Amino acid sequence: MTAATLFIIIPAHNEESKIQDVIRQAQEYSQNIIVVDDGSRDSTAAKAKELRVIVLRHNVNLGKGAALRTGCDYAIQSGADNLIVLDGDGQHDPQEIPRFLEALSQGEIVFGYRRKPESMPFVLKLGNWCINNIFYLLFRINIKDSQCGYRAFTAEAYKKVRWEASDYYMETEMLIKAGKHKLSHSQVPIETIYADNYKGTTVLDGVKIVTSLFLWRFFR
Amino acid sequence: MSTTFWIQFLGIVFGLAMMYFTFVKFKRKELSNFEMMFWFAGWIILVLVAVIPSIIDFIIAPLHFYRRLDFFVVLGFFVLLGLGFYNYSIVKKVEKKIRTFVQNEALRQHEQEKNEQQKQQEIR
Repeated sequence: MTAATLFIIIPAHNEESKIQDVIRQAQEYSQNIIVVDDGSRDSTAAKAKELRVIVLRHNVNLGKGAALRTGCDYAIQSGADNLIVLDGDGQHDPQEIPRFLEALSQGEIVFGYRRKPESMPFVLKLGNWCINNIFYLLFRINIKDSQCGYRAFTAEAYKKVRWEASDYYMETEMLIKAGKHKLSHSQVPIETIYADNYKGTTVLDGVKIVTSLFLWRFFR
Repeated sequence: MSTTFWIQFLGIVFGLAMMYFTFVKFKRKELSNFEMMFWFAGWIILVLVAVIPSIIDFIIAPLHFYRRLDFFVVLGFFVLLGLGFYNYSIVKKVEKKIRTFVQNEALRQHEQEKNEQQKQQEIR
């Protein structure tokens, strides 16, 4: 029996200062690393290429969902068995990959959830609390952190949860599809490092996610 | 001067201004012959109705609108809602096309780079 091929997909947008650290740490666990440069205006792609990883480049910024889909599609085409997605801004610690793999060996999809660190901006804490509760009320799926982007899944699971959203709603869409297909899942606690309060999900994204949740629940 | 006069006056000024902008767009080749004629017809109807409002009484009378202006307000809402929906669907379509194009382009560029690297290795 051959070992499962693991692909690590890292979406990045203007992350020239962080991307190499993230890649170097991730390389300890797999040599199949895909960085999707989502229309960066800095040297993110060039920095990633220096470390000899696969770099896919969006010529214009499409959003995290689109970047991850490009990366995951490529990984599947390249024969991936398991996929791990983590952010390129250093928010997710690649050292936690083995814990995801361990959990994935007993299920089809693994969701990370953030322990509530002091450094988490208040707006994010409030936004996450609201989205998690609305998500539970609408879909009755008990997930501790619906917006955490650190996830692992099998190639088969990816085909079932492949999202349409190009933005931050992809995380929620993935959850809904996982619930719909009754994929066996587990949750892994992770540490999160917040270096930049102004990057990532905004209040407007939160409003869009909640609106989409209602639309998905009642009109799809 | 009555309120009706000013509404008619503004209607005429607006219609003429829009004709000018339509013509400029046509000269810049941003509109085709058909599109130019379509929009011109719309603006001419607007100016005509502003000059002689009674010409549309045959539509307003059976609908029992109290005033002609009420009819225009209702019609304006419908037109705006229709245009809003039309714009929404166009934006969605364009968004999807751009997304597909950019994603395919990313994969194509990567394949091209990979092939070039392979060729260079073969030459060495």
